Amino acid sequence: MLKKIIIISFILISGVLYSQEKSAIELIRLLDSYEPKTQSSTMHMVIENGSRIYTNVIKEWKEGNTKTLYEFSGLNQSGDKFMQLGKKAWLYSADMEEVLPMSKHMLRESAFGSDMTFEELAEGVTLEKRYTGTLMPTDPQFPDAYVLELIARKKSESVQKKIIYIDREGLYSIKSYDYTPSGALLKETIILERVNIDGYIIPVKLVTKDSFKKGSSTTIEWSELEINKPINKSIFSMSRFGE
Amino acid sequence: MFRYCILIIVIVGANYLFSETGYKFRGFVESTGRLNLSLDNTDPNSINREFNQGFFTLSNQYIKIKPESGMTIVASINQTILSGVSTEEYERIQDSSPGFYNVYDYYILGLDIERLYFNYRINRVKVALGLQRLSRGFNFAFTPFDFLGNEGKLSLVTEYETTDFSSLALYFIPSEDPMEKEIWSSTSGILYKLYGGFVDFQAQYNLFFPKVYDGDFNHLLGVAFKGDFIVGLSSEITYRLNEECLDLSIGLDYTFYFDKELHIMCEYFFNGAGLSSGSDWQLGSTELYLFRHYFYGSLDLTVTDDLNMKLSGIYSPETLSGIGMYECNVRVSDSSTFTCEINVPMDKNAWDIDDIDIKDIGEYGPLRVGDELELSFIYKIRY
Repeated sequence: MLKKIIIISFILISGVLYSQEKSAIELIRLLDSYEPKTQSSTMHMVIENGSRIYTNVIKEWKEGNTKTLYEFSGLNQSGDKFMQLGKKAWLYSADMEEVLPMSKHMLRESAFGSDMTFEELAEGVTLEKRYTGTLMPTDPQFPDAYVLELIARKKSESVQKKIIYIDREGLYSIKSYDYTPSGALLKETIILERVNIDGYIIPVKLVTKDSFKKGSSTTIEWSELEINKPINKSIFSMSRFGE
Repeated sequence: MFRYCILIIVIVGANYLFSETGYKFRGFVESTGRLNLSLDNTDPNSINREFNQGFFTLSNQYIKIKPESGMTIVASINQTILSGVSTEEYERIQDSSPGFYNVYDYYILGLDIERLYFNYRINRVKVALGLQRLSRGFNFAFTPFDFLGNEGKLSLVTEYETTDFSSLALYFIPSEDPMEKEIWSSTSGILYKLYGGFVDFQAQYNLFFPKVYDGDFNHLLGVAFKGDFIVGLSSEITYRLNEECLDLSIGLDYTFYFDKELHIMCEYFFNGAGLSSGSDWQLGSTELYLFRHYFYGSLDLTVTDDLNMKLSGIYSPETLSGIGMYECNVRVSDSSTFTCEINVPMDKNAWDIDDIDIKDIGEYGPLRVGDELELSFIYKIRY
């Protein structure tokens, strides 16, 4: 009798526990929900390349997934700006006082020598529209993390496969791996620090390594972070370039 | 020189005294050493080879002051130090602009205000007056639409932003002769820019005043666009009404990604005013483009974040000549780069110039350019 009670209890408890497990689509939607409507901040980008260290200070404005502006103040790009609006992007050269339209293929170039591309700098999350997800078996090294595999819906997506580790308790991203269409590891990103502002869990420090660049890593730290505050319309206009 | 120092001190000092909403100051120093295997082509029947050297240092200070909301003052000042083969520019303009350079024992010092203008914005209207760049167009090597070039032009520009991504500018550029008091020889025009549509688009109309009172006005119409059609496609077209002359350039570019980045670009130029035959031209002509058709191509390989190599060339099919260029850029530190450049002018008789007939000299060949080979080492540091 006692044996039956224990078995029934085990089945019931297991059922309750199982029902708390998140599905892949729930996790994708959860990560997407952390994307604020607007974000403005200052990014300190430290690029380590072997024994050399380069720094960039970038002011950032983002509105949804379609509008992004970066203003650079590092020595090599002082006054340069990068703006992306939907599928169009432009680079403003402060030296030349010229606006240079960027073709889509150029967005995959390294952004100012960092381990990130222009595309990655500007992209929002919107994982659900771009990827289909599957929950992978738990990684024994990270038993407290969901392992979510994402496969691109379109062949044109520059990252065809992503694997994201998500903390089971906090439900935030811990680290991610990006893969090329051929299956080779492209990039590893580890989120070192994050903040929770009104339920939006936003990374404030991360390190990313491009596996094609040996000995190279880029650490990005965000400060003066403001989210969901109206951004002046003139920020995302051509007149901003001449400012 | 003393006056320039005073000007720099006054501008920098004005930052601190009058700037209410901030200022930006930046600059660079670029030092170039040149080795040059040149040809003395004054007599094509007796060519002498010379092995030359030269130094060229360019120092730039750029200052942008915002004394009050809506107002901006921009000043960009260049100082150049020249010696050896780098003094060719001095030799070219010393008669017309004697005050531009000062000659010292070991070098020639050049002083130049590259830009000096103020800009005032009221809502969507912007007025800019002074020495400023009026750059336009999208192409890299052949830019008929950007006929004013990158140099600062003394001008008045009034720009109205029709939307957040389009603008209409009216401008007036006085004669290039600073002593000219009358309105003749001036240029005025309208430039429309549109960003963010199906393609980025620009259109312009220019009215060239005659050089004398009873001369003819000239007109230039032009359009330019850049679009994204798997590869980047750009084009610039201009038409001069009086000369009935059409200029056209078309460019394509694409980036390949493997463990490195390879950016490929090519451009074609139809020069309407150019000669159609390769036999009827003057060796001493200073025109940049003498013939009808030109091609440009480049392969730009980013090997690592610190190392970039570029192979490029310009080719004139009418004279079967061209210039091959190799460039290697190394990022030395956060603020400095080292560049090595090799320029090789070539034509169909490139390896047999001693017995060349004057009819066979290529437009970009060693005998016209005056060099067989030029090697440059450039160190640039920003601050």
